[in-house]
Amino acid sequence: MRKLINIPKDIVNEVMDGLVAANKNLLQRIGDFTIIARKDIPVKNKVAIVTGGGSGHEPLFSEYVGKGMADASANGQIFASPSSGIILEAIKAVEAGEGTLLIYNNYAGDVLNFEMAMEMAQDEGIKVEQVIVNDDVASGPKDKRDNRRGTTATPIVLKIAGAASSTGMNIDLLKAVAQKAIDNSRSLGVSLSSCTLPETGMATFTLEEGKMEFGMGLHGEAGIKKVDVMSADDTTKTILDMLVDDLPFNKGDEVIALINGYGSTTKMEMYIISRKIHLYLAEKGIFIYSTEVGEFCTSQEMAGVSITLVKLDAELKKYYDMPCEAPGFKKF
Amino acid sequence: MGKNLVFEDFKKIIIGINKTIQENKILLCKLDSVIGDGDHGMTIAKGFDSAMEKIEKTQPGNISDLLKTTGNAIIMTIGGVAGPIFGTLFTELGKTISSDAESVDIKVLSLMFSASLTKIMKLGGAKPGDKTMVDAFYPAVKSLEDSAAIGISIKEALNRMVEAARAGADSTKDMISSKGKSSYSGERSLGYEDAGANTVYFIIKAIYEELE
Repeated sequence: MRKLINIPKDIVNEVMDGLVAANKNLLQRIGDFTIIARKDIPVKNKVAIVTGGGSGHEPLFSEYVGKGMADASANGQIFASPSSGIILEAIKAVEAGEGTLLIYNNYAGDVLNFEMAMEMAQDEGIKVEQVIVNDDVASGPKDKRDNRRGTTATPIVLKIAGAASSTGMNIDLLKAVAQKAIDNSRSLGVSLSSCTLPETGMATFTLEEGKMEFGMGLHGEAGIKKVDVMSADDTTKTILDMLVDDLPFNKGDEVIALINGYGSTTKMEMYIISRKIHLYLAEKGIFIYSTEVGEFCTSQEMAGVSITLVKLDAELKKYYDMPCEAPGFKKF
Repeated sequence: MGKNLVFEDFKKIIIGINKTIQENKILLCKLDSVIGDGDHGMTIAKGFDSAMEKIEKTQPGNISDLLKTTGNAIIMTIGGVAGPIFGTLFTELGKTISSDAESVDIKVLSLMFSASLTKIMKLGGAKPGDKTMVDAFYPAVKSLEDSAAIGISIKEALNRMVEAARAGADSTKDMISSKGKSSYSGERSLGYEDAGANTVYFIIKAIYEELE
């Protein structure tokens, strides 16, 4: 394992401290908890947004905390959900009287802990609602979307929901907007190498040299198809065929296309993929309103990319275009 | 039928479980490092640390509150799937009896554990064979139900529970993980025992040993 770390058990704490140090005008840590929050919480006249999940996917989740995005992130250990206690503390820290919307990814541990925290907060008289991101088409059939994992649509969902919350809309309306952003999002990834867990130095899975796997999860969960490594264009086409068919995305639709590097994939490769996405969607008559290229949700040093398409309507486009200032996502 | 368990017994049991978990945390981490991230022992130990602190601070005065306090502290402190599952093990034991229950006989103890098992399987969605803590907890609770039906002493029933939990934990070696974080390792999990199943074994073993 080649990682620049100190003592493994300190990783999450040190990442929190380093992130805050690098963004001291935007972010703060709440007590000793593994919670990152906006500097100016609680923000008045707005439903608060709390996100979170396991660590090790940086910039997810904490770099999407900021103005016009999430109010706080509750972070667990590497690849493990935060405890309900930490999530509850995050909810209490951001709550400004208008309620809190939880936005997190669909994994068993996260659902257990966020739902327990939601009940505890409700018992304390705080209004809490939740939406669960499940954009990954590889982890369940179309008619069983509840089984699907949350992956790289999360930054876009947080962007849209964060903007919507800043308009002062009530929690029920906000929940509907966030749910619409989730319902309109589809993602699929391909992995070309494994990643190692920093605590043990062990690979989470093995992928033979010369092979690639479609639909591999962010923690090495088995994918849907293992093949010989294909060209960038063929890989992109394989992914887009599945995404376009799944929602489906139709001729005349407007979309955000997000290309996410899993950790060790270069921007060079991502731009080659961006080129093919534009060619492919142009041929289908699907208009790309905006393209995001970079690392949004990583899996340590795993090689590979995921592509996310988000179908826009006038409302989602309006919130997507509003300014935001978070370390991992800025719009002016 | 042997003697019933009273509040003092449960206090000794919780202290004993904490001691056993702290003594075996490195072993539990080693089990977890093969197919998980190697932190199970430390995480569970941290949960029991916070349970002991909470008990010290709030001084629960009856069996039900003691068990609920223990479970809630674990739930609040540990993340992942382990926190809610192992915390619920104790909160459900506590919720099954009322706060004025002063003693527990084998029939009540069996009902408490059955409720705990049912809630855990519902929460986590795991069944026997999924290579989880359920593989040790399910046979242990079933053995207690059998003991309650034939009416042997609590001590003997617990002895049988320990044996059932140990056999259950051993059986996870031949299983492929399909639930929880270790499921990410898929077939690589074959040949190794589940750490959570071993934690169940240590918990039940500690209960038995405290009553000896």
